[in-house]
Parts: sequence; C-alpha cells; structure tokens
Amino acid sequence: MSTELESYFAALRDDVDTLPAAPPAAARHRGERRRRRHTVLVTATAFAAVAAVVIALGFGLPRGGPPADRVTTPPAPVETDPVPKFQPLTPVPTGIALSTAGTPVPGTTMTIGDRAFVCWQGPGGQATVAAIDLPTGATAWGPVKLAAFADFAAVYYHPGYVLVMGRNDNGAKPDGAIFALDPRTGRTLLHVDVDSFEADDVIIGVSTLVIASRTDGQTRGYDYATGEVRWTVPDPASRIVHSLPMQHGSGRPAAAGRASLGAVLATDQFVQLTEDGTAILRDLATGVEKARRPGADKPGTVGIMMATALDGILYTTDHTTLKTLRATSLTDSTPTTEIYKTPQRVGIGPPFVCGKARICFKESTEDPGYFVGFDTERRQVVWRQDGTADTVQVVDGRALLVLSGATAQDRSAVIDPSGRQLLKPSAQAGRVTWVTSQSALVFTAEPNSGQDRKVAGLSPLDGDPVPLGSIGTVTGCSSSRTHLICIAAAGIKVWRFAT
Amino acid sequence: MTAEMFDAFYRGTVPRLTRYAFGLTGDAGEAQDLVQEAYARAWQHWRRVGAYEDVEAWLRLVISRLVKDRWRRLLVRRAAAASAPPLPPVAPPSEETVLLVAALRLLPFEQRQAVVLYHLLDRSLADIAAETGANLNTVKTRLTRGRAALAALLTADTATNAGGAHVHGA
Repeated sequence: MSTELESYFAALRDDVDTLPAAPPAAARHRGERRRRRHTVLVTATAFAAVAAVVIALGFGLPRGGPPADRVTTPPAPVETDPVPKFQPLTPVPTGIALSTAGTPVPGTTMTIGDRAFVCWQGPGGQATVAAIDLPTGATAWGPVKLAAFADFAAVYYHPGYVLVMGRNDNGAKPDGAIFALDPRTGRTLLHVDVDSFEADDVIIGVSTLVIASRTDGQTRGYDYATGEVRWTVPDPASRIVHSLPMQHGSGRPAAAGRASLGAVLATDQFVQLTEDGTAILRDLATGVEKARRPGADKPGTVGIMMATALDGILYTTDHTTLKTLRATSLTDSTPTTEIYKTPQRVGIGPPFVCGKARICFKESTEDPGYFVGFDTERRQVVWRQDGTADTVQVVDGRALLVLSGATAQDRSAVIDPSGRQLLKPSAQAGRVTWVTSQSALVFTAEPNSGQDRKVAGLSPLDGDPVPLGSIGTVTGCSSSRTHLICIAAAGIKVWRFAT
Repeated sequence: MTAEMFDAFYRGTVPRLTRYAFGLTGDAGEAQDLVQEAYARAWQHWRRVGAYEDVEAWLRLVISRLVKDRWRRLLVRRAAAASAPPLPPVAPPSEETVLLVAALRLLPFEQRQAVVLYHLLDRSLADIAAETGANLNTVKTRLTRGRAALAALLTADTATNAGGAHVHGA
C-alpha cells in the first residue's frame, strides 16, 4: 500500500503544482492593507461628540473628569475652522532617538491639540509611548514602557486619552491589550486584556470603552478614567456574534476638522448582532437595551464584520451570497428590507459610513474592483471609484477615500454629497489626510515603501497642491493644524508646515 | 530592495506553500486564499519576519493556525471574497487526488499535518518534530497511524467507487 499511497501523493502534487498563484505584488498589497487596518482601528468617520469635546477642552487635553458620551453641543460651523497658511517645511528638533537600523522603526503617532503622542516597539516588542510638544519639539513625558507584543503596538486617536493597542496575533491568550494613558502625565489609567482581537469586538466611545468578549460571552463597558468596569451584559440565549457602533452621518471630524490617525468613533449607542440574526441596540454609557429587532440579519453570522449602523438604521450584507445590502430600522418597527442588489457575479464587501444617508462598500470580482457610494434614502448608487478604499474619513458630508488597486500606487478622492470628486488630478496621486475641514496634506509614496516622501498642502480642497518639501523615508505620520510628526530611522521627526 | 527580496522569496516558495495548504484543507480556492493571507502577513512584518532563519516554516505555522481556527479561516475567506480578484480556473483534479483529499480530510489535524509535511513537502521526521513541537516518537506514531488510516480509507473508497455507489464531496 505504501507504493500506492506514494502514487496518490504524486498525483496530488501534480494537480496542486498546476494551480496558479497570484503575483507577489498582490500579497504585498494585501499585507499593506492589513498593516493599515491594524494602525487605523476603525476606518470610518469621526463624530460630533469628539469635536464638541475637543472644542470644549480648548488646548485639547482633558482638565477634569471623563467627557460625556452624549452630544449636547452642536458642532461649530465649518466656516469657523481656521485655514492654515502653508509654508515650506521647517524642521523642529526633538530629543527622542530610535533604532538606527536603516529603516524606520514600526510605529504610529497621533495628536491632541499641539501635543503629539508616539508609540513604537522597542527590543522584544516592548510597546513604548512618549509625548512631544510640537511647537518646541520638547519631550513632555516618557518614554513609558507598557508591555511586549509579538505583532504590533499602535497609538489611536481619542480626544481625552492616549489609547494604545498591542497585539500578539500568534495564538497566545490573551491576544493583546488596550491601554488608556493620561495625555498630561503618561500615567496608565486603564489596562484591559483582549482575548482575541479577531473574535472580540472593541468599540471606542468618548468616555466608555466597550469590549464584547467571545471567550466568556460577556460585554463590558470600561471607564477610561478609572480603568474600572462600568457595566456588564451577558450574552442572550442566542450568543452575540458582532458588536458595532451606531454612527451619526452628520458628524464632524475629530479635533475640529483635523483627523488624526485612527479617527475614533464617538457614539452614544451600539448594536449587537446575535447568532439567530437579532439586532439589539444598547446605550454605550450604561449597556441598557434600547431596542431589539429579530430577523435583522441572517442567522449564523460569523466571520468578518459585514454590517454598519448609521442614524438608527442597521445595514447588513448577506453574508452567504455577498450580493445584497439590507436595512433594518432600530428606531421604529419598519420591517427589514433589501435596499440594494449587486450586479450579477459581483460580490459586495463590508459597508462603511460615508456621510449622512451614505453607505460605501467595495464591489468586485473584476480586477481591480471599485468602491461604491450608495444613497440610502434614494436607494441608488451615486458614485463609483476604482480600487479598494483602506481609509474612509468623512468631514461635513465629504468622504475622503484612500484607494489602492492590485498594483497601482495609492490615490485619493474627496467625494462631496452629490458624488463629485473634489480633488484635482494633481492632488489625487498619493495619500491625502485632513488638516481642517477646508484643507489637507498630500503625501507621495506609500509608508514603508523605502522611498523619499514629499508633502504638499491643499487648501481649498479643489485647489492646486502647494509643495511643502520632502520628509524622507518615514512612516506613522500624523499632523496638527500646523505641525507634522513622523517616525524616521533615526528618530522622531517634526516639521512646521503652516502658521 | 526589500520588495525585490520578498518577491524572489515568494516565487521560490509559493508552490510548496500551496501544496501544504491544499494538503491540509483539500480545497484549491481555500488553499490559495490561505497562502495569500500568510504571505500578506509576512510582508506586513517583513522587517522582522524577513530576518527569521526559516521564513518558510513561519509561513507554514501561519497556515496551520488558520486551518485549525475555523473562525480565522472564515475571516480570510470573507476578506478574499470581498476584495481579491479571482484566479483563473484550472482543470479538475485527477481521480487519485479527489480520493486522497477526501481521505485526508478525515484524519485528525496532527496526523494530517505530519502526513502532508512528510509526503508533500519531503520534510524529515526530525524536521517535522521540530516544526510541530512534538517529539520524534510522537511524529512517527502520527505518521504511521495517518498512513494506515489513509490506506484503509483509500482501499474502501476504491472498492466503493468500483461499484459506482459512492459520491465524494471533495
């Protein structure tokens, strides 16, 4: 039988060796998308609650207790946002040196007001955080060492706390942890282990962090300021399979138009989907159930999140066929309805919020596929963009997309509510990030590409890019309204780019 | 230069990785997805992973973990279905492959892994022991039992197929 077995294996080898393999560039692009998904916790909009809190805080750092989740102050009008006056990049020396191995140390940055926070991994994967005052380059506190992680550690935007997430992604339990640090002192206020970042859902509210653990079937709300569990809700009889924030489409970006890396979702409610397809709407601050709709999703929903929630409505894609988009109202008893069906043989990807009454999602089977903006009220596609969007950030109804194809360089688009692309062709090549609601920065070359990156300013958004200078081989950049901070091989780099 | 090194490594190893993934899953499409996911993770951390002594073993470890974890496999499949263009169609596998794949699926994971590493990737018993964290005798036992089970299953399947009464779901 041994010889016969060998003949079976020989046949299997022959068959497998005829299978086509995707080009290596496809694997690299997929890896880049994974990297961005990791460093941008939630690719979606930032909201009025965040803006309101940051505006109220003035300098941008918290002065008292935790901010409220509920939005009581409407966002300031767009016109009040100060538009930066661009100038050529001027280096601001900093005192933090990193490895000099020749390539940038993997790391991330984010800003609150004029203070930047940097997270990188030291020897052994030690997550390390420091704060830098951008105008002077002085180290405000740190470096603070948190814990070692096998995969990555990154800092995420929050208006009142420095959020750091570390992940092992090697089968270890726990899979990683989330920390909240005081931005004024670097003191650790909250440290929560996460059993599995792929199975558990994490929702970042302004005052409450929600983690739905699939290990023990409990959903918990944590207080950033004390690290304590505010509330715990056990799974219902049909277990929870997904938890997601209820977003608001009329939101403003974090920090009055200046979206930092990892734009955070501030919301006062969240939605949980059960295995039997029921949607449960809960209050974020208390965990209290506000509404329940059986039949919102098909039973047995598992795998990647194929739903989003906007202004009281849950949108789900049929996870068995990936062909249809359905809507379920969580504020009234309107039955679940199918609102979109993709063209034949075209799959639909996870939906994102792209503004008020706007959902966007990837449609593909043909290379490179395209990204679609869908009007949920008129139930029709209002725009299409080639490629896959790995970043979606909405400011005043205008969706900023960073799109990548299978092999092409990244390009950007800013789509207004009518579906019009605002960026001129000269501004589309590269990665665009918001500075204020009326201005942006354009980066050439991808992070981690090893290429010299150049930066241009854009104001107004449909104007010509203004070259600001070169920033070399850097990664993990973010900006305030006037300063840019990145991670280079030799250390942290800060430039002034506007007054 | 780093991308060039990665691309060269990819071209040199992707057939073996695909063999490994196919042997563990028995599904060509799923094997291709898992292999792409493993290389994507390698590129994501290439600065660190590229310096490993045996990067291919690290990729096999990623694939093994994905195969064992149903939840993660679903994530990979859904992500691929939503974003990746399909690869061109291929000819159907031979009768022997269909039978072997169906039999492999019935083995416990550890036996299947040992059999696939030994018969499809030509790894030595010592290599398999090192890679799976098992001692040499355990690897021998898994291999012996796996082969015996395959022989019995293939004999039964061949006999049944000769009678034309059994339909495989592979």
